[in-house]
Amino acid sequence: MNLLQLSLSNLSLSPLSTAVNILLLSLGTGSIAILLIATHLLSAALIRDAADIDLVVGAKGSPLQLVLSGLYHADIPTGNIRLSEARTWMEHPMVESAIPLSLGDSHKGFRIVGTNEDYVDIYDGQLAEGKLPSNLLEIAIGSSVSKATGLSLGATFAGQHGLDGAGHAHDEDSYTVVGIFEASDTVLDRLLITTLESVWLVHGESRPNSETYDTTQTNRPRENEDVHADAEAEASEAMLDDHHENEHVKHQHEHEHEDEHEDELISEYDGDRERQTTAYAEAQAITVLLIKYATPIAAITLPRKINDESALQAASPAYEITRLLQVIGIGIGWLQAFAAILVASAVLSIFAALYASLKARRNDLAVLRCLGATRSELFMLLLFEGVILTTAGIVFGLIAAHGGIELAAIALGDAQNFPFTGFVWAPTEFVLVGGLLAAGVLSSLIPSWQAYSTDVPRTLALS
Amino acid sequence: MPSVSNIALKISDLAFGYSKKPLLEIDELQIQKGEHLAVIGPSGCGKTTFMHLVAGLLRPQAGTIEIQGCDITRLKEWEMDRFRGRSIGVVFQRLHLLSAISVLNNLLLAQRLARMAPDKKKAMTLLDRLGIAGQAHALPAMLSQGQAQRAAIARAVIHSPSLVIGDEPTSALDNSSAADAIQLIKELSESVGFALLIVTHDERVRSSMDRVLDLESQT
Repeated sequence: MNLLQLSLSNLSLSPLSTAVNILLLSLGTGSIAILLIATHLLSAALIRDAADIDLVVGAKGSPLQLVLSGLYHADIPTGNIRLSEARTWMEHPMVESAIPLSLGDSHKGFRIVGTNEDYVDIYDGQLAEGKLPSNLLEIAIGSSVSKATGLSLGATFAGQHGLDGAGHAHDEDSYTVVGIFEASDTVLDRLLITTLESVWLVHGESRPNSETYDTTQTNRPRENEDVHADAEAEASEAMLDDHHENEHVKHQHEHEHEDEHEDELISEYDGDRERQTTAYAEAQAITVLLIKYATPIAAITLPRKINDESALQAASPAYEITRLLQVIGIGIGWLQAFAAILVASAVLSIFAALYASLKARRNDLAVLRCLGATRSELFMLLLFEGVILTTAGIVFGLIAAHGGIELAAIALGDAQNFPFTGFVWAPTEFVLVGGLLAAGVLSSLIPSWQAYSTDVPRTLALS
Repeated sequence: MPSVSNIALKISDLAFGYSKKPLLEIDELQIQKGEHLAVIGPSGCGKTTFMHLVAGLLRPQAGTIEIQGCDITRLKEWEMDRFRGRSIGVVFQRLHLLSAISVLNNLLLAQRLARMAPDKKKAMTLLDRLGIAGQAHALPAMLSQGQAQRAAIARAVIHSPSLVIGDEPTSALDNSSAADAIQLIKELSESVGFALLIVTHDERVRSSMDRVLDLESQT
């Protein structure tokens, strides 16, 4: 039996009061911890998924929407742009690399992205099985997609028009799974990666021999492509723009006019190789372009240049995400203030409990002095009680917060735009724990000091 | 003339008062190891104050109090606390067992505060000797008055002190229990070897002690 055990025994003498104090502190701690963890997870996901991308270029609209849709795949795209127009910026001296993405379809809630190998590289995507798509209608799937849909190598499926799972299926063009990525804890886990040409094909722009495609060089102009692209891509852009505009409304696009175009295009492919290439170029339209700057000065000049000198929109992920987090931060701030009131109430409650307990135990404290306890030991006895209550409140609060988040993550599954887990520790939680312990110690100081100051002869005389 | 090593308590020229007029003055007092002294006097004569002075809970204005050769008036407060824990046992009028812990833990805590390694076997042997081994794990609130007094006596002697002070230890007990309690303390005093100093109004206690100090005659 030592003083710490005596503190525990003292607390167990009034179990209801002890339980209520711990519960109050747990509620406050848990509430704040949930907000801290959620903010940490969101920030980490936003930073991680932004990878090395400095600029997102796409159709005019909301810049935040452009970033959310193009980079995080968490919103509807603003529309499509001509690849020929995008190329002007892909080849700009201030651009180190540019990755085109073509969006619009999904499978069981997971988005299908038409792009090239460079996109996989920015997330350090590694294949667990199979290979990257190189031919038409080949597709590689993220680890979460594989887990959630059960798709395996060689499996075939039809992409669904739109991103919300409400559109019709492209039954005529089934994808074949040729690769499965290892989990990377990035947005790649939740995507299905195919070639740009496959997306264009599915949307009916062209159906040429797959061998004619150069799927790995889409960020550089192909031979013969320049000649026709500017003049002819407009038609395909209009076609895919319609596609996305309808997606904005109800995602119930019927592709009737696309079918007409498809018939026309198929007849063109019956011609010679040059004509095939021309028809193919006509279909080239993309949704966004992900740009990495070649020079820091580009951050100042390039976005303005794109916005001023073209029909495109350039949005900086860093700026837009900071703005988003600021907006979210206001709401989080209010919630944190509410949780802080809970914590303050709990700390005051601990103070009240210790103070009341002190009054009831003055005789015990005097007896302890008679048994040989020093004033400092009486001080520590009360301090221990405050720290035990605070620590228990913190521990239960953190368990509830992390456990609750993990349970929610399990319940919501892998299809979240920003997957989360309870098995993560936000650095700000250290500050929370430190602050709460300090508050617990502070709340115990007055009762502890009174214990320290116990007048033994007087107390014994009055007992 | 007793040898110094046999003196459990030696008081010289002691003076204490809450105002300029001394409440208590004792020129000379010695208690041998194993000796039993009753301190008597009318209410307000300073019996409890005397007990607090001997226990080191109060500081005299003058004089010395030596326990086992150590002048406790020269000790710093924390040193006095430690000394008290090691060398003095106290039995209170109202028992004052710590209510949050069991009888056994009351004894083990006393050992701990005496800076001894807790000896559960010794504690159980003592409780058994006092006839309350069956209540070792009970909380004090579950004991009868007599059992609680035995437990308090056990706690006062578990660390083998050189002096045990009792402040009206039998005032709350009936005749039979009071006689038992005094008999037990005296037996333990003989076996452990501590001197016994009991502040009392109780004639039964007074008559069973070796010597009597009447504080009224001292002031």
